[in-house]
Amino acid sequence: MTAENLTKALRGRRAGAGSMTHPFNAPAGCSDVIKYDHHSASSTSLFCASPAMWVAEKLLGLRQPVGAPAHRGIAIEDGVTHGLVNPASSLAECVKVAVIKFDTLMAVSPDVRRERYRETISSMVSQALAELRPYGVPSGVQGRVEWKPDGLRLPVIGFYDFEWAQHGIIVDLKTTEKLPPQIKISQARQAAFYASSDNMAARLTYVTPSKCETYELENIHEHREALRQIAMRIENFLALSDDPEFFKSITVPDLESFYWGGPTARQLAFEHWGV
Amino acid sequence: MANVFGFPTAPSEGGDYTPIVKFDARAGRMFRMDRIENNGNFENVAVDITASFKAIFHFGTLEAGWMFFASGIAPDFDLVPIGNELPARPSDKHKHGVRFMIKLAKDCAGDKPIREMAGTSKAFLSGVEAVYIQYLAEKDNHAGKLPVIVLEGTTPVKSGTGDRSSTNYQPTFKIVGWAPRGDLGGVVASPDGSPPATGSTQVDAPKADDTVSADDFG
Repeated sequence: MTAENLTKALRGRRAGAGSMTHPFNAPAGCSDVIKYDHHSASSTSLFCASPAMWVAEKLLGLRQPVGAPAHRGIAIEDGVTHGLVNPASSLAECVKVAVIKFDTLMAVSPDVRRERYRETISSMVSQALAELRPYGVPSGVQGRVEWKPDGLRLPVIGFYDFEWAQHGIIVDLKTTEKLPPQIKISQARQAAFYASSDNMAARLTYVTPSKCETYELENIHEHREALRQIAMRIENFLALSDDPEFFKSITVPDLESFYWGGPTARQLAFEHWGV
Repeated sequence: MANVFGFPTAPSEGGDYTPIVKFDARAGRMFRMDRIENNGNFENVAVDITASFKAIFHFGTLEAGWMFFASGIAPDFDLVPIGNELPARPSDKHKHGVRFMIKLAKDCAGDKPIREMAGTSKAFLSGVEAVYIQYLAEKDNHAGKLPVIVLEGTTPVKSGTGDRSSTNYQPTFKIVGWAPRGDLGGVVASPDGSPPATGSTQVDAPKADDTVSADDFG
């Protein structure tokens, strides 16, 4: 039946939840219309990694809570930004900005890793500033980038971390526990997209609790094209139906994966997919 | 939208058109070719940028092989990334040539700075060869950057004798600085067909005196 739906949809007739053999119930909190109106680098990466989680978050509106690592990343970025745009500010001041941000974001989080991650903030802000302050004061921070290439119905929208127009360089800051030996592929796509804003060179700065390194992004055009290719697949996927519920019938969570490992996600898989 | 014929009949929007810069070896002039729309029709307008020519040359996109240019028809290219075995000559009308991407400086770019440059004349190829050799010799001192090149002048080169003699002008390109690589388009397949690397080269903050101002290139 699903194959039949797909065939119909691909012929231009969009499938609906009513056409499923065993329609799912519509649990409270689900969106009944698709509100996906633009792509982002993170959305395309999530689609690649876990189509079912992409359906949950982007089509059903069931955003998953993020934990201490993600909140630490935001907090460190705030502290580093403060230190870059205010070159006279002390390290203690920048760390304070980051810690306040972290504590605010984590205020209602049940993540037990809170203290362990909080303890690393000072070192990571210090290392990132030592790495990036030599670039000078950035000409832009959190700059909006929108790209709508041929073949896409929806634009790709995102925000880069730091731009130094005087050097022709955009830098994206990544916080991680272990320094990667090279730029990660999903992050290469993201940075390549940011570099499209004004034909800039792109770099990724990885900071861990004990190390910090910056890598030059290679093959920018190819990685941005990869982003476009993934976004096209998303649009082909979306063309199958106007009904968010339909997409639960053609995806299934991988419960062994990182994306479905937490108790909230596990419950979600059971309630919405019956697995 | 496809029509009854099964293919679009609407006017092309020209979205896939890669703008070009060409060196006219017979005149010794550099031209930016602008595509101008006039009531739905496109025409090519040559803008002389000989005096102001300044560009980032993306030699990483350099391709070599065979080209056939003729008026009234699209050029035909059969090229491989430099360093690979050249393809068989498609016809006796095809000539040796090279093609690569450049980014023009703001002063000479018009509204499309990223352009393709290609040519088959011996004069053009000799000029590109000279600056490419210089690029190879110096590039390791400028990791992650591309040369910023100006057209310093041209040198007349005579060939043939009598009624069959002619004069072409060899461009003298000069590297005046180095700029961040950025993205100058021109997807070049890796020689072994492998997927593109992301990058593992660790880099330091740029030195102020090492980099040409990015403002020159918009």
